Amino acid sequence: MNRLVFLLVFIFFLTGCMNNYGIDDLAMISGVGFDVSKHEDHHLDITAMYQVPTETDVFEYLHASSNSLENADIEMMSQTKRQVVNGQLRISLFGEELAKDGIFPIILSFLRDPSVGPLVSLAVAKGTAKEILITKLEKEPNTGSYIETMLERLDEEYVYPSVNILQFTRSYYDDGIDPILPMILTTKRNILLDGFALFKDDRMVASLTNEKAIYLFLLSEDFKKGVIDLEIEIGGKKEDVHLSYVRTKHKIKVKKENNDFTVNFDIHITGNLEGYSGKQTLTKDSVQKELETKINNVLNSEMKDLLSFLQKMNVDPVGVGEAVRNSLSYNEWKSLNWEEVYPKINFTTEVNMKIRNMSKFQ
Amino acid sequence: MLNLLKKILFNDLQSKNSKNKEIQKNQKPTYSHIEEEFSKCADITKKEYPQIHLQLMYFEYMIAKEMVEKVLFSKIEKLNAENIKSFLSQHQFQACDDSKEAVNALLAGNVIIFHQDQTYIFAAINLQTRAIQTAESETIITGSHDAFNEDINTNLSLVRRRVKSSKLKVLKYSIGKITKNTVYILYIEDLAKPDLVNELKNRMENIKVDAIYDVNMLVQLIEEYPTSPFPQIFTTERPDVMSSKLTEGKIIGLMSNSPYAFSAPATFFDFVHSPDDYNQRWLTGSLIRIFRLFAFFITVTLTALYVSITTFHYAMVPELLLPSLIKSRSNVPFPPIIEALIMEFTIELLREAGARLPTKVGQTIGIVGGIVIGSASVEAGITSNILIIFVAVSAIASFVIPSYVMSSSVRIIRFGFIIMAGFLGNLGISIALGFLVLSLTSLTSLKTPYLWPISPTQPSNWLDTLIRAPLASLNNETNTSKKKKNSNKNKR
Amino acid sequence: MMKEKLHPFQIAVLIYMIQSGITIFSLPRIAAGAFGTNGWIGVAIISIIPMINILLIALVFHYGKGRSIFEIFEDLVPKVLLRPFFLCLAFLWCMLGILVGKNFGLLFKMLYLPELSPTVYLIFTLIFVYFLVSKGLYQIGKTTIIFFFMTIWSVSIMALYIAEFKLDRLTPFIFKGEKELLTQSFEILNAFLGYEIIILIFPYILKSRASIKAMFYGNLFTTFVIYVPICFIAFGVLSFDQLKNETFPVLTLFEYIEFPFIERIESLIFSLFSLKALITVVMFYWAGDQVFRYSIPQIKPKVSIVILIIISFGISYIPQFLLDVGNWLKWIGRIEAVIAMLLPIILLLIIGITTIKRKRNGSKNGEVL
Repeated sequence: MNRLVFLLVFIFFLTGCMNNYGIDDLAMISGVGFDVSKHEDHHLDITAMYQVPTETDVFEYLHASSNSLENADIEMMSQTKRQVVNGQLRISLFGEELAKDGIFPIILSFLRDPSVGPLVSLAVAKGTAKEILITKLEKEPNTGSYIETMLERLDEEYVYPSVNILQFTRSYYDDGIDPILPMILTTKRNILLDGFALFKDDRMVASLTNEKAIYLFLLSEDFKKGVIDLEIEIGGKKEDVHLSYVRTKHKIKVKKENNDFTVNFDIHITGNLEGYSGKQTLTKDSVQKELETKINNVLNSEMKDLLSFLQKMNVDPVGVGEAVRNSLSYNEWKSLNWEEVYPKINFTTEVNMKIRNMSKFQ
Repeated sequence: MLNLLKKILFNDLQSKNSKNKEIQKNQKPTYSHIEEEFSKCADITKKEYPQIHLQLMYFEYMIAKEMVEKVLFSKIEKLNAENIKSFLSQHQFQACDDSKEAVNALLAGNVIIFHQDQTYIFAAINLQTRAIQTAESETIITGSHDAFNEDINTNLSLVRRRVKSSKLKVLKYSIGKITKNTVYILYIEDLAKPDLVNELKNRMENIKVDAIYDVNMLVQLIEEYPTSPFPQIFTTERPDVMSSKLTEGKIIGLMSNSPYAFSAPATFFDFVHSPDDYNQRWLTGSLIRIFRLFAFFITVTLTALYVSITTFHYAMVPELLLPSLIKSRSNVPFPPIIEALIMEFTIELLREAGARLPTKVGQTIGIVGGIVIGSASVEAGITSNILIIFVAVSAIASFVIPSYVMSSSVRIIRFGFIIMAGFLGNLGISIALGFLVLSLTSLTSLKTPYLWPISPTQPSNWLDTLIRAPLASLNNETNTSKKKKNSNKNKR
Repeated sequence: MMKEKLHPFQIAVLIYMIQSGITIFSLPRIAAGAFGTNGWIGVAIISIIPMINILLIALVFHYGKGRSIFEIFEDLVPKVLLRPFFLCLAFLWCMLGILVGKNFGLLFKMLYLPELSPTVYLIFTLIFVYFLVSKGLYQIGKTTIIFFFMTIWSVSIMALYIAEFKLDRLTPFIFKGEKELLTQSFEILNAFLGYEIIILIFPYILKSRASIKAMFYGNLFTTFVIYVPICFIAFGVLSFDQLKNETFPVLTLFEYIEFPFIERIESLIFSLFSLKALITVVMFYWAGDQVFRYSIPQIKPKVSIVILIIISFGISYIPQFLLDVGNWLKWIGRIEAVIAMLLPIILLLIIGITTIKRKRNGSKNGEVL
């Protein structure tokens, strides 16, 4: 009897929070893009896409302009009969112009929204984000998901990292490293990765091409499975080298003399030589040695170039700051004006490249 | 008005009772008494030999006819007034001074012999029973296949021939005022805890019921928590399981006319174990045990999880599953909770129909229900096909639990989970889980905690509950020493 | 028949379950706020306080010869004074219980279920409280163990962060950066609170070394298996300033996990943790019920818990919002921390005084001890 009463009380109270919508009544935003608004009063142009639940591979777009993501809610909701929710957001794109203005206010509203997870990929759109989101690929109608999958695959198979909210926020808040974001470009027929945007705080200050970016990642990460394409000079002729399954190990050493810092990168690389356009017989030891030293030289100089470029731009996506910070005491680090010290740091690189094996055919 | 009716009825009954002279205990049985007792029983056979003042009474279909013919009737015919006394003093004729006993003996299938004022019982029972057959509701792949049947003596012999020990003690009870079923309580003297045996004795003696037909009914009368959804005393039709329970120090019970036996105290894990676990390699056995526990959770939570995800936590759906899920959901006009309840209800109906119908028709029901209704309801847009998968998986998972009684209980509580999930999402599921745990942990079976050895915790016993460790580490000797330890603990 | 006693394992699990509640989700942030960089070491340091406290309680248990605290108090303090004191304590503990429950309900509402009325959650919790408390500590112990196994596995998920973990992020600086040591470390201490209730369970445990050891193991488990590793991982996965800005860093970490068949399992884990919060609530109510029944002995066991539930449920309506509840919890938590420390000290004093008195009396009467 007692239990029966309890049961009735349960049901009585439960009906109070009956929720009548199901998953199919939602407009689940899968991709969202932000651009600088041409509108006078507003700062942001927002483009969002969601899948129409009743159809396969049909996507609808919502457009709004406002000063923040939260304020755009009403405008977006008035464009669809469904409830707009952010819980399935996969990718967020920022137009180049907006990225130069600073994107952290948007990231912050993502962080504050409990329904948005930290795994949402971020990317900078060359041109406008809207342009990319509304690109209709013939076989891939879900543009947002397509970009996300592409970035993730590049992350897994190569060395180009995909960056999600957690990672961006982490670098943003860290005083020893600056964030980067992949850059996406659309041609009419395709969407592709086109370099990386370098951020100072939350403002994009420079960009790297895919080829140059490799050297950045050589400096900042350990590769498990990477690809490096190089051009080396042998006997006055330019030859192409393609290294695959590249594994690297890197060490950063910081030396402080008076007030000058010397940072040394010690990078060990092993890889398969898969493509080589030169004429030498690769099985010879001497040829292999020669190739290795050539590659080392090229890598060294490329890295130096990159580092001085980064110094010129005063961005530190490598995480030199982290290494310097960890070599100092807390007070020394705090009294350091990193902004001024960084461009003056003396960088040395030591690359030690070993060819693991040659190609199948001589 | 009602009272009046009652009065009339009661008076009527009482007067009838008084007319029908109840046979009192310790009353000397006489032919007229017994005859009056069975006054309107057309099936009783009475034989009279007036020359020698001998009367016989028996139920023809309950005695061994040939034997009785040979040993009794043919000899009686040759008797005369002089040698009858010496004939009846033979040992197969048991003198009886109690009419109640005489009636019971007659009902059990004996021949009652009246000579002058003396009554004898001639043992001639031969009840027709079915042969020992293979277990039907608890089939196993490896291991013995015989099952209990309705004859309690056969059942006793099935146990005795497995446990050949003089320590195996048997107590006899008669349960049911009208049905008078024999119940045997078996235990191994040094292994079973005496206080538990006494407790069970008490409970058996305190059963007050008119009629009882099966062990599964009996156990509900001796459980501690009759309102709980979970069975607290383990029943099985397998003699090998029962024998192993005996050697584990548990008390088992057999009842006449029931192909089931019970064992107490039981823990939750008794219901999810199968003899197959022991007959297979230990790794297989252990894995299957873990799977079963896993299946238990799946049965309880899977459909609820579907409801909770589709109603509240859409963010939990992985990207690749999302399109197909929302596509199939979008055709359904009901909220997920209604959809899920309809489907679960249908599955329950199907299962029940399949169980009631003869095997061959049962299969048809399976096909009709599973395939036709399943696919048709998806096409008609009553359910989403992902829900069908969830419901089917959780139904299959429920059948993994070897005990039929337990698996039915689990299926019922699933509805509670679905409702909670529909209202409160994941929080509802975890609240429901909390209540499930609460109701499981508060149960005791014959004073033993239901979830022993998990709670209260005795990790040394996990080897034979959560997993099935190699037999060498579970062998009897260590078991008995463990038992002693446990009993010591309990004494403290 | 003798009363069933709690197994040492149950004592340890019980202590762990009362201690760790949903504070665990924000603990790394609090640790960062309190200690600055590498605050996870600070958590281990703070855990010394409950350790000392448990030591004191163990001493009470030892020198009090396993008697309940009521009996020890009665040696010196008249019942007239004791009753109002324990009445206040009952009130305090029940308030703490219901606030923990309400806090959880409000958090769940904020994070996952905006439609949820915290009252509904509270009612379920209180039904639980009623069932468990009215059945006694042994039943609570049995239920706790299952809840323990149901929640403990989620900690192992933390191992999936190897890829994101970077030792450099921990920084070599120990306890540097802006910090509010005093106020925030009180909050860390709050994350450990709950163990003080074991001062009431003396009559329910065996008088043995194992029982005392179990109390310490419980606290050590909370500290070194749960709190410190989780904080360590959080400090290594999130950067320091990010950590300070995340309200629930551990939830964010759980959100970061993706399985092919399910994502964002943090709502599931957070829901499961309601069971943990539940045990905390139940134990506070149980303690409140114990002292309440002592202060008003005329009351029947089942009635007392109903009265407590009704009173505290009424009061729980005063703080309406998460912030209010948080503030109340903070203040009651501080009072509780002081009580946790003082109670065993007072008891030890009483034991000391009574033994001295007895000795004197004994020598006066010329008895040989």
